[in-house]
This record gives sequence, structure tokens and C-alpha cells, in this order.
Amino acid sequence: MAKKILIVDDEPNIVISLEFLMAQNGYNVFIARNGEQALDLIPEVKPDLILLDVMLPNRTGFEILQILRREKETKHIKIILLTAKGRDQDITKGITLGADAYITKPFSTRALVEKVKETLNQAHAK
Amino acid sequence: MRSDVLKKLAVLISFLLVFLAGSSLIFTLHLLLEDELSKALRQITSQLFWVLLLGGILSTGVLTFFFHWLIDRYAAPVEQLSDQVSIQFLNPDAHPLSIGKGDVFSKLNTSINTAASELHQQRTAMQHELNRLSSRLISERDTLAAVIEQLQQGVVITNQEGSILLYNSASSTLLSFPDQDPPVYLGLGRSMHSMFKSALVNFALDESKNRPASDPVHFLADTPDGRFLKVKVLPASLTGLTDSGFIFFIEDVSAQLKGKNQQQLHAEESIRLLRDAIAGVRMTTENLLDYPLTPEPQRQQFLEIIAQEAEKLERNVTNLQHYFESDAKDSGLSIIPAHSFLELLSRLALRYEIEIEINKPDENPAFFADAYSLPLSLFFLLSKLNYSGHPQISFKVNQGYVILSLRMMSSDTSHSRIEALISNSPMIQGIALPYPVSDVFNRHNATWWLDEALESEFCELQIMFPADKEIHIEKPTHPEKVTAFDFDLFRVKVSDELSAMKLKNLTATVFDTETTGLYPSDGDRLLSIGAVRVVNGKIQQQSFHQLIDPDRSIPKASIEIHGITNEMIVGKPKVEKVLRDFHLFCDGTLLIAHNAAFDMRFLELEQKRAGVVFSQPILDTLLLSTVLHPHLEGHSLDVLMPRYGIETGKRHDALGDAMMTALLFQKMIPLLEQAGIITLEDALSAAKDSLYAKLKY
Repeated sequence: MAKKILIVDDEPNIVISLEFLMAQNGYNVFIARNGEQALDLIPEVKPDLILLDVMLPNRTGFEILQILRREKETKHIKIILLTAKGRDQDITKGITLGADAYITKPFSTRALVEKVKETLNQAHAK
Repeated sequence: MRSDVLKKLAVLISFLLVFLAGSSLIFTLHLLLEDELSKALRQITSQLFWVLLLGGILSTGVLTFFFHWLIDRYAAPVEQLSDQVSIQFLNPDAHPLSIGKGDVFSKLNTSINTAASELHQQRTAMQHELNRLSSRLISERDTLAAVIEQLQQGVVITNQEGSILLYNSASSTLLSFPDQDPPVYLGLGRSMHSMFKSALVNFALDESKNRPASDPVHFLADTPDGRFLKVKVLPASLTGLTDSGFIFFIEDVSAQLKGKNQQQLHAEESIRLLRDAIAGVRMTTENLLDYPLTPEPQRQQFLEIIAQEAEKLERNVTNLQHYFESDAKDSGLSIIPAHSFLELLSRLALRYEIEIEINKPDENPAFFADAYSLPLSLFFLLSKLNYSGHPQISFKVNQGYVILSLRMMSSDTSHSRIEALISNSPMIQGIALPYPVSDVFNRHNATWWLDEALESEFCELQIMFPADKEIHIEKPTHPEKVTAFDFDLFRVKVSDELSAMKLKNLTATVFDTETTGLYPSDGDRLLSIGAVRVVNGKIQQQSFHQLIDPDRSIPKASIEIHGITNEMIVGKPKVEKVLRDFHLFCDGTLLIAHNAAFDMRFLELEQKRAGVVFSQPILDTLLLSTVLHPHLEGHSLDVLMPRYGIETGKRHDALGDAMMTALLFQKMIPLLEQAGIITLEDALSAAKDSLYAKLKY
């Protein structure tokens, strides 16, 4: 069965490309435009991996990350943070809060596909 | 006339008096009496001659005795008094006077004693006041020196002419280039003109005379070792001094200058490349949109161009971002080791009356923090949050960041609660900041989050700071730990008439040499030169000490004296270089040496090789010793050290001997002054006369 990927990002143009790219690589893709939507969708969809943008309206990606890592049901979900390049403290903060990987915007599509594959294959360390 | 001489003369005087009295009595009687009576008198006198003689002798004796009594009773005590009074007035410990007998003397004694004791009392009081004032002055001066010493900036104070009166060790690190050829030394009495280009110094001094202190002169100076110094010059008008001077503030800005220029160039280049990339993307995209029927190979090429240009965009935006970030680094925060920061928190906790518990991990990373606003903000947050027990404060290090954690037992602390709090300006125990906590965090480049573990009642406020990534090179500790200063130099007029200068105000280089033997004409050479500077009678810490490769082997006999072996001089500089350096070290100063003739013979022979001339006047402490103590035998350093109570240091070491000679010279100055030898000219001519005197023997 195809793995489920949830994309959480508020930038529609990026979402279009991401959705296309993940679908092309054979994943089952779901979209959330903000943090609240994501929190609503997750129990329903039970994604294997979340591509989580840090800069979201209302609730930041960090908050979502913290919430997901706290709950027993969502603890195991792989999370790749999408951060703006150069915001090094976001990366450290994200990893400290329990993200599995990060990728900086702008990114190359090939690198992202590689990173998703790699993360899904990782045994859960936590 | 002294009383003992008077006493000896008393017999003669008495005899003369008796003789005069007797003979004048007889003569008068002869004149007054009639012939017969006088004849009878003459008869009687001749008959009674022996009786009269006896009477005369007796009265002489009585008179002598009377004179002696008179002298003992009055003249001698008066004489003693006049001697004793001066002692009484000079020496506070002298016994009270009780000289002479009788009412007059006892009154005199009492009034002298009273006067003397009053004088001593006043003198003691005055001395006390003097001591108090001078010790206050000294401690104020030391405080000033300590403050200046702590400054990161170099501080140099000069007089009107640019002669250095004070400098701190930071400036000494910035302005001494001992490895340069020629070497440059910073030191008291030296001129700023030798530190920077003369034209630059003149410009700065002239300019700052004509400007208000609020508008100081700034200039950039390049150093011989290729660094850039930012120099600020202020006129220094120091109260109580007739002549003011200048204060130089010196900062090394080479790193900033270099960094700034390069980064600026990079940023400009990035912007240019960004424009190119945007042009590329725009043109190709418009082509694709406007000409939808473009054939396939061309279409594919356009798309590849867009991908390439997009990559270019990304790279150059990143470059620009780095430029702005590095610009933001200069935020005025200081580097604080995490341990010190925790200790600071535990001290401040008492003041803010908040109980905390500190957990110090082993590692001790440093981060940029403001020691005032950051703790204040943290304690403000703690004071507003509800928790039980004591918050535990600790930190951890993660990928170049220091994460400070405040762990507390709290059920109602939430992200939104903290977010609301940090938009407030901190205020605790009456201490407030005029800006919100979020500004404090932003200034620290800090991000924060709240860790709430679901099962436990603990929450942790985590604040992440960029750790200091730079490797810190310890500031080189300069041997001169204490600021060198000599405000007396303000009072010294730099005079061309060196010889008219007082010995105590001279700037001198006291030096000594070690040699391969005693006979330069037979091929003996210099082995080492050691020297110290004496400015205003004070020995400076700056010294010169250099071994010299003598271009020949060192005889065993001389090794036994100075201990400099053939192995020790391997790779040492030749005399040409050392003499040039030494010439620079003693430039503009008087030379002093013990038995200077010996050292000068070597210098004169060797200076030709170096192409320098030591033309300054030379004082010989050996000759000065013969001036001061012509009757004492022995004027070698070994004899003079104990005579002057100077502790013998490392003997037959050029620097050690130079130092001892300097101490000797220091002690000689007051003695020479007592002997009326006050100026350099006095000392030179006295030494010359003494030399001739010695040669005569």
C-alpha cells in the first residue's frame, strides 16, 4: 500500500508542486493549508510522513510538532520540516523538538524526494 | 669667643687689670700728693714691694676666680643653650632643656622647651595631614591606573609635544612591534611620532587643539605589521597642570575593515547576479507564455534555463542573507560563559527575591548575552508565572546553540500565556526596562518554546541562544601588567639643552654589556647587551636584553664569568642588527653605565659595523661614586651594592647588571644633589674632574 504523506504549507504555488511531485513518486498525498487543518486531518488520515512548513499562520510548525510528539497516537509519525534557508536556529529548534529531518527552502525536487524516501525507511529512533 | 678660650685668658686679663689698677693708683697718688708725701709714698712702696706684689698676685687670683665663676655661670650656659636650641627644635625626642642655674636660666629653659614642644606638635600634625593627603592621592592615582588598565581600548596620554606620559597594556600590545625591523617600542618619554607617521601625529595634535572635546579627531593608522588602528585623539586639559596634553584612544579595526570590505564586495556581486538571474527567468518564461507553439527542443532548452537561473537566484539570495546576518552580529552583546551566566542568575535571584535552583552541566559554552536585560527578563517571567517549588535553571548545548531551560512545576503555564507575557516590558522589584521581553529575546537572536510533558506536571521554558562559534584566542598578556604612567612628565619641558636638565628629570638608558674578553683591540667582541630605561628617576619595566653572535668562539675564562656558552649564541643575531636595535631603544636618551669607559670602548668599535653612532652624553656611575665618596676605597658594583643597601641580583648578566646600575643611579641622585651636583652638566664635569684626579694617582 502506498505511504501517506501530509503536506502542511500555506503557499499555494509550492503546494501544487509538492503535491505533483509526491504523487509522481507514488505516494498518497493529503493537503493542509494551516496548523488547525493539519491537527484535524491527522487523526483521520494517519499519515506516515508530514512535510511541515515552519512558518504557518496561527500555529507555527513548531507547535504542531510539539503537539504531535506529545500524543501517543502521533508520536511515531515521521516529520520533515520545511524551513527557510539561513534560519539555522529554526533547524536546531526543530531537531530539538523532535523533527526527523529538515529541508531548507528553496530546495531541489530531487533532494526532497531523496530525503522523503530516506526518512520513511528510517527505523523510528524515538 | 668660646668660653673655654675665655677661661684660659682670664688669668692674663685679671693680671692686666690688677697691674693697671695698681700702677694707675700709684701714678695718680704721685700726681696728687706733694713732693714730700710722694717721696714718702715711694719709700713705703719700695719697702712694702713684696707685700704689694703678694697683694697683686692675690687680687689677680681672686679676680681670675671671679671671672671663671662668671663664665661658668652665664657665658657657658648661654653658649650651650645656643647649641642645644637647634637640636631641641630639630629632634622631637631630645630631653627637655635644663641648662644653667638661677631664675633667668630656668625661665629661659622653660620657654625654649615649650616652644620646641609646640613646634614638634605642629610639625607632627602637619606631617599627619601630609601623609593622609598623599596616601589619598596615591590611592586615587592607583585607581585611575587600574581603571585604565582594564580598558580593552589602548589608552595613551601624551604631553603637548607628543611625549608619552601614560599608557595601558592594551596600547602597549597594539603599538609595540619588537619583531619589526627596525623594532618599535612604546614607552614612557617616547614620542608618538615614532609610533605613527609624524605627519599624521602633527595633523591630529594640531587639529584636536582647534576642536571641542565633543568633536574629537579620528584617524586610521596602518601599523608596520599590516594592521589598521582606529585612533581617536582628545585634548586633555588636566586641572592643576600648566600644560595640557592629549589622550589617544586606540582600537584595532583591521578585522572589521577587512571583513566589511570583503562582505560588501560580495553583497554587491550577489545583487548583480540576482538581477541577471531574474532577467533570465523573466525572459524565458515570457517567451514560453507568448509563443506557446515553440518547437520541442527549444522549449526544453528554455525550461532548463529557468531551472538554472532559479538555482542562481537561490545561491545569491543566500549570500545576501549572510551579509545582513554578519552585519547584525555587532549587537553590543558580550560573550558570557554559560556557567558565569548561571552564577549571575543565582546572585540576582536574591535581589529579585525569587528562589531558584541552578544545575550546572559540565560543559561551559559561551553565548552572546546582555548581563542586565536578559536576567531581568527571565526573573520577570518567573515572577508572573504560577508554579510551586523552585524553578530549576540549567542549559544544554545543541548544534551551535545554547538552550537555557527554566523547569517548573506548573499546571497553567501555556504557550499563549508566555507569548502574552513577553510582549510586556519587564518590571520587577521596582526595576523596569523600557522595552518588551520580546525585544530582549530578539536582540539576543533567541527563540523560545515551552515544553509541556503530558504526563508530568512539569513544564520547561526553553530559550535558545546562538553559542559563540568563534575560537577565542586569549588576549596576549603583556609582561607590563600595571599601566605605566608618569604624570611628572607633564612638568618636564622638553629641552634641547639636555645638559641643563636636572638629573632627577632625565630620561636615560642604563646599560651593561658582556663580552668575550677585556681587550676589544685584540679581537674581543660583544656577547650581550642589557638595558633598562630610567625616566624621571623611575626605573621603567621596559627592558632590552639580547644575546649576540660574536662571530668567534667564547674563551673558557670568560664563560666562567658570564655563563654565556658557545651553544647559547647559536642562531642569535649579529652585532650589526643588535646595535641598530639598541640604538633605537636608547634614541634620545642619556646613556648610563658602570665603568662606562669599558662598555663604550666596545660600542665604539662595534658601532662602525652597524653603521650607527652613539653620540649621546654618557654618565659613569663608577666615576660618580668617586665624586661622592673620594675617601672610600673600592667603587665596583660588588662593593657599591651593599654600601647603598641594594640587594644584589643576577650579577654578570647584562640586564641584571644594568638593573643594579639603574638602582644605584637612582640612589645617587639625592646624594649628588646634596653635593650641589644637580644638572647633567654638573654631573658630567664632576665626573670629568674626578677622572683626572684618579689619573693623577
